[in-house]
Amino acid sequence: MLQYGFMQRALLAGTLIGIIAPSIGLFLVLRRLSLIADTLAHVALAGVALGLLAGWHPALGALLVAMAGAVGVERLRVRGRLFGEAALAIFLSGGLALAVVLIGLGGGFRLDLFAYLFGAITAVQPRDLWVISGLGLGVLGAVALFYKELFAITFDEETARVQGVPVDALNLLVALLVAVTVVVAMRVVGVLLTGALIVVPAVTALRIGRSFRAALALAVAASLVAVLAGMTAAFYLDLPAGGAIVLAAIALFALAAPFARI
Amino acid sequence: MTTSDDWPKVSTAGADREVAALEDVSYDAGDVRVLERVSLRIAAGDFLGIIGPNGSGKTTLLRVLLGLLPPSAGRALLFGTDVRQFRQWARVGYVPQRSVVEPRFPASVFEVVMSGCSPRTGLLRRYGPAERAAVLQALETVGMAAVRDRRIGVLSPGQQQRVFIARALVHRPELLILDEPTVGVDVEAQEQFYTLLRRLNREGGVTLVLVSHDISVVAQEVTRLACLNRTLVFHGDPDEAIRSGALERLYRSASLVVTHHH
Repeated sequence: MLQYGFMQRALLAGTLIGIIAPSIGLFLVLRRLSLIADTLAHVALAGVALGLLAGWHPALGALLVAMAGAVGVERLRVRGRLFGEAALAIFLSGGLALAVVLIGLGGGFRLDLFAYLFGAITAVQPRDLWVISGLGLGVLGAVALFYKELFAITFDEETARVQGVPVDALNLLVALLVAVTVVVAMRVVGVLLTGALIVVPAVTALRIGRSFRAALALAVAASLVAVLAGMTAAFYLDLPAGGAIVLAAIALFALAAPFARI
Repeated sequence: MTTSDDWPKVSTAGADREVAALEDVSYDAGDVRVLERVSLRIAAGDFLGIIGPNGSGKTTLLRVLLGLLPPSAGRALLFGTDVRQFRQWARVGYVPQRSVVEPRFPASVFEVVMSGCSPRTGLLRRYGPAERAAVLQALETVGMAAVRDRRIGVLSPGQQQRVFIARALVHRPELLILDEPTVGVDVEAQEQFYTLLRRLNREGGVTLVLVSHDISVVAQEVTRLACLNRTLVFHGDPDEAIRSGALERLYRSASLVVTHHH
């Protein structure tokens, strides 16, 4: 399968996605913010529809709308006036509703949209690869740069504050990084399943890891195995890539059960 | 527990130097006044115990002092600076209530203590050999070096508490603030714990502020005592608190409050 140009691009993009999605996902799961990934994915879908309607690159529309959504979600969460995940529920359904309305207005781009919903290995154009690489390396760089602060606020936010860590700014950064990750992943995995790739390998790693570093490495490993197995299956069996990848990730989660320490 | 001979003494030049203070602080949680015009001065070298019945505002007082809660009136000072402008967090160590730990969190003891290096290392800089040495030394000080690679959640409450003290000590604070540190810790571990605090205070010159509802033990250990029940009922020498009947009044008025509410 490696002789096909589209497959080389898809595997390259998939590898990058396989590394960044669980890297940000581990922080989300440990802070009980797993739903943020799914929420911003739905918000990003409204951005895709907006991009298609306005004639921009859909990734640009998705990026702008998802980042605006990230800022909105984080502000509602910090103010804490709504009950727990109610703020996320509003953004999630609001994003989907807006996407549906914009799709209705557009009328003619239903086929294009299907690939964004469920992911497609044939979808990564040479131009997309540059966007995916740029954004993906940006996310990876940000996580590496703020690793020690992200660990501190994830383990114990209040003490991190007393250590002078800029907690509010970093919380906003995490939300923005999730938005970017969603946009990077949606081409291959699809909007509806991106949240799963961010969350599931991280949860698998939590079953086994005894230190944070080990959990992070395990999450990335689990995610890469799922992405490569899923894409291979998608190529040979002509399956939607997103579905195959997420099912592979869930299979790994089940396989980790005998090694689970919790 | 090993000795802290290798623990460099914090300079106590100008022994009456003010380390922290509350000036006429009130705090309202909604319609409920939790703190009423509390003024408190903590001098370098003090070992101050803050005691009071449940709901007397002890934890709120600490949170205001650390800048985690904005007071409704008055102000908090750390090392002479209003806490809202205070940035020298390396001078302050904080040991929160142990209940903040998620037992399934994948962090090794070493990683937890390492996160305490943050105030000295600063943003955008990685931890290096100097930090690793400081972590090992802090773990030696609290007698936890042998378990440095274990996951924090599998330790006993007393051991977890010592790890948190190591995290607060690793950046060599002049002021150490502890919130209910002995809750859930068995008697033998409590004795070791107070021995450690005494050493830090007398040999290391670290100023200590300890909040507890455990009056009898605290009154024996500390050099200054503050009795809190929304207002500051007493502030001074622990023996004087017992002689003057302040302790008795503190808990009699507390039980009156309780019966009043029923």
